[in-house]
Amino acid sequence: MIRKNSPAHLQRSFHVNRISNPFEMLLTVALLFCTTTSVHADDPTPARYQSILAKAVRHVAEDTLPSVVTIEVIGVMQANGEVRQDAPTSGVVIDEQGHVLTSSWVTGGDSASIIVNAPSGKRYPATVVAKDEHRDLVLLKVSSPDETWQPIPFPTSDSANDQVGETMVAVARYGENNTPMVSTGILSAVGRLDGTAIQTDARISPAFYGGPLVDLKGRFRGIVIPAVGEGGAEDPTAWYDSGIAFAVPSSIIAQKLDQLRRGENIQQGLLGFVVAGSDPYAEGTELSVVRKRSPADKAGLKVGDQLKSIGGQSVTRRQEIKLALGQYDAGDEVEIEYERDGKRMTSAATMIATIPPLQPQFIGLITADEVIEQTEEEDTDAESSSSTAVIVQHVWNKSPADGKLKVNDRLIQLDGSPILDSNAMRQRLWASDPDVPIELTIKRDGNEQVVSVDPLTLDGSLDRIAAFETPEPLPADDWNVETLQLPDITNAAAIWFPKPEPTVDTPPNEAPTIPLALAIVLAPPKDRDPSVILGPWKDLARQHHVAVCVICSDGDDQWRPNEVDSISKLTAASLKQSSASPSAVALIGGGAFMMDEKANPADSMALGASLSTVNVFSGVAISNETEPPAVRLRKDGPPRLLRVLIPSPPDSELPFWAETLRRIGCPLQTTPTLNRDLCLQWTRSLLAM
Amino acid sequence: MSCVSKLSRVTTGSSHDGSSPALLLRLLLGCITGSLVAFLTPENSWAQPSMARPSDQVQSKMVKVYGAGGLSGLEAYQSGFLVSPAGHIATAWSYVLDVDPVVILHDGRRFESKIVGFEPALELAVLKIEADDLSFFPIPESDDVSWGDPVLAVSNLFGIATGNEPASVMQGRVAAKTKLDARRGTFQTPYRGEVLLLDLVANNPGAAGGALVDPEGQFLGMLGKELRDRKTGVWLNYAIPAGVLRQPIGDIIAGRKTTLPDESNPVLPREKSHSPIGLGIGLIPDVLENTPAYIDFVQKDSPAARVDLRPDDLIVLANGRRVSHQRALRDLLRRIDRRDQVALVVQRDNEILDLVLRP
Repeated sequence: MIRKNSPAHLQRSFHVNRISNPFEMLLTVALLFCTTTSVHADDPTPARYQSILAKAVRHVAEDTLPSVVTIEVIGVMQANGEVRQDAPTSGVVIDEQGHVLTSSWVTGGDSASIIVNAPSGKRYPATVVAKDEHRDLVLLKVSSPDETWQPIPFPTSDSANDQVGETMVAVARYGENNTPMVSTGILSAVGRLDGTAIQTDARISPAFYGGPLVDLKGRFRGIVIPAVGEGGAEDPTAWYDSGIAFAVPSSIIAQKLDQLRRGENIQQGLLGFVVAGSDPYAEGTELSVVRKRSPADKAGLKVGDQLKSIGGQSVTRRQEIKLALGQYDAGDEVEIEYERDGKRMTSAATMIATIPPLQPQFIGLITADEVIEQTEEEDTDAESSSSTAVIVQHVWNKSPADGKLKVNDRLIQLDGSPILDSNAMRQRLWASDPDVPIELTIKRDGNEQVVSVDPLTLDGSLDRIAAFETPEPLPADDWNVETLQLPDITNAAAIWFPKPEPTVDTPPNEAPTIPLALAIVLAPPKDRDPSVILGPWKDLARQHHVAVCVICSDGDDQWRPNEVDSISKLTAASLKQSSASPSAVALIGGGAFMMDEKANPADSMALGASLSTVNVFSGVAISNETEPPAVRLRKDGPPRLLRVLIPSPPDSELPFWAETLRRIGCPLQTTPTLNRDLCLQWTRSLLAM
Repeated sequence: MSCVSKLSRVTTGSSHDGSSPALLLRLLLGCITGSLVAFLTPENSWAQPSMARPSDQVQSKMVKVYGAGGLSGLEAYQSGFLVSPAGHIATAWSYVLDVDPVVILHDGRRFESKIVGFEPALELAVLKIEADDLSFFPIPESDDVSWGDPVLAVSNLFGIATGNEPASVMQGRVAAKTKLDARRGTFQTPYRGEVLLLDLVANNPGAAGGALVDPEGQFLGMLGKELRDRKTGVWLNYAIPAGVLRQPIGDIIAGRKTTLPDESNPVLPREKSHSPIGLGIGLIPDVLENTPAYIDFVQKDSPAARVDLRPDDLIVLANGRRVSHQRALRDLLRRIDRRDQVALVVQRDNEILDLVLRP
């Protein structure tokens, strides 16, 4: 099917000359035209331009095709996606020994065999040499003594020359006869997928995955991968044929090939720190957590350091830090510039593939932040500096801090670095090591002192922190029910909460009021009236000083995944209505306290909603029979401060999803049985850290 | 045409920008051929790769086809193109043609059409409207098109245009020239011949029956119905090439392969003619005005059983004539002598079978 209008010798000279400019090339092609008889020099039309361009496209594709193979996977289970798991995709021959680089699609499911269909039309079994899990590439090796492999040449120029708008040609082979197939577009963007990929608008259907992207000079520019942007879709092929496709640039591939050939897998590099603040787009690069023994720790980074640049790229926001780190692999060394006490410092960290999961610790403090305006003598100083003091409001009965810390102690330092605010302190306790005493520098009655507290690992049996004390019912407590109605939200919801007390100035020496906690109860779909469901909660809520909001599903048959949004909005409204503490919001599934029910959809929804929102909920209570929902877990972001409470009857095994929750750093709290009373006691314990 | 001159003015204007690489190319080529002057005239504004001319040229040959559908996600419209000056229109054979469709020409004129012929294996149908002096696509004999070649896909995708609004023009390339390996639902398609795979998303709802043309406006192929690639499971973008379409379209226009009901043969007495049950075919109960000729059962040792007709087969053609409903089949069989054989074309799942029933 390949038409060759140009004489062979001219084609060869075309190769040799390695023309450096696409227009020169077009010109050359035009010259070829003039020297052949098929030229209609007196009929120059847009069609002629198109025809010349088409010849250029075919030419670069024909140059590339000897290095393009088709890859078939045999005996693989069909997944849920639209694209068949055994869809034939493409690969690129990268050396004469039969190494073929392709996309991770071929290892996406467990297959009986991976077959490479060589340009010669012969099929060979291939083995996986190594995977680049960070860039979705797989290196295969084909053992075939008699096959001659023509490797793709790597261009010498570097990626800095990538110009958005350059013409790009995706090359593949299709069907039984290995028919050449092309798709053209332009380079749409560079530095996509956290700096690992380039983007093209060429229409990429699955047959192109793993195949090369070349430019009009015939230079190998990248390998097409199935990928979507972060949060784009569950299925990496969801964006096929949509004008947005990604390729791993050849310049990066060239750097990684030796490692892959040695059989070493490549993973994304991690440093093990957390940047303060909840908004990734807000300015600020202050570290709020540095994991012990992590690369960041070994590089000497400390809580409170301000990051200035990463790998020479300056950073001012958390999002920029994520982008700057995105391109590095485990084992890469990265230079980090930071500011500490007004001094600029630089150190290098060697990234690693996995940071061990968090084992969150508990000491039993309820604290409040007090903002102190620093009114200094010099009024000319425009920057009115303010600092936050973290003050102990309450010490949990029989907790590790009981007897060591007192109400109104000011917390100044944790293990030698300053405590920024209550939230940062929560995060650091969450990231503390088990069985290692925590050194707290405090100020009590004007004197500074250091207190050592042996923390308690949150994961485990709940009765270790079950010494709940019942707060004194306040005489002014006047509780009532209110229906929650929000624009665009059709879920029925009602909240039971105490009327705000008239603001009376608390005498300074009296113990401060402990804030209210909030329990959000998701009703099973069959229950439709939130006011009725509230009934059995009322006395308990008043007793434990926890506001309770019941939310019903929109439809009477199921909870839908998109109702997460309604749940978050109704939670925000409940917090506003009840003035409860935002750091003590529990999400309780309808099956958690009804032990007889199995696989309650409200429990799946509760788990899904608590995992797909970022620190809206600090606890989720669900049945141990819960069907785990399909949630895409975010890689990035602050630690998930989420405690999971499940009933674990004697002689029962933990559910299979328990390990997943532990791996993402969510402590699993268990109790032999679970009821409304215990749910609310536990909700109240979320106030303490 | 006003559209074209406007566009060429724009393109000429921008090409005076000295830095334009395309201008450079034009100049270089101009030097080579030594006819610089010719290239600078506005109508030859070839330096800008404008597709304005072919896009406009094809519009008068495109039609909108409206017919059955409109329920449960099935669109009641598709595209078509004129293949003769006398009002022959090629389009995709689909459920839209379950009723005699209404055709709207590019200028907004509206016609009732008749289905004069179709080729089930290609899912091609030819309609006829009572009009003449129409511009049309001559169907070339050979497919002088290669993978990588630029193309325009012209269709009324998503029914975006109505009345005299022009059809939509999309540009792209032939991605590959290959055999069709596709499925509809779970069944493989009847046509497994050569197709042009496209690197643009051309096969959308309503685009079936659209035209694929080259940058000169020459006809290259017909956009097919929505199909999924059998191996990867994703939507295909393809056209059936002109070379494959030429013969059946020509045969239908020339009357060699008409599927119109034949009134010329007289209706024979019942005992002298064929009937479904005489051939051993039991049809599903005829309860609608247009009950399709689906087979309910096949009698043992009958002509139908001997060619292995099966329940659920749909009779599409009888002796080359279209069987649009059970009445049409009975009427056709009444005009065939009981001693003669009957040629049936049936659709089984997505396969088209040619069967000859011998009495």
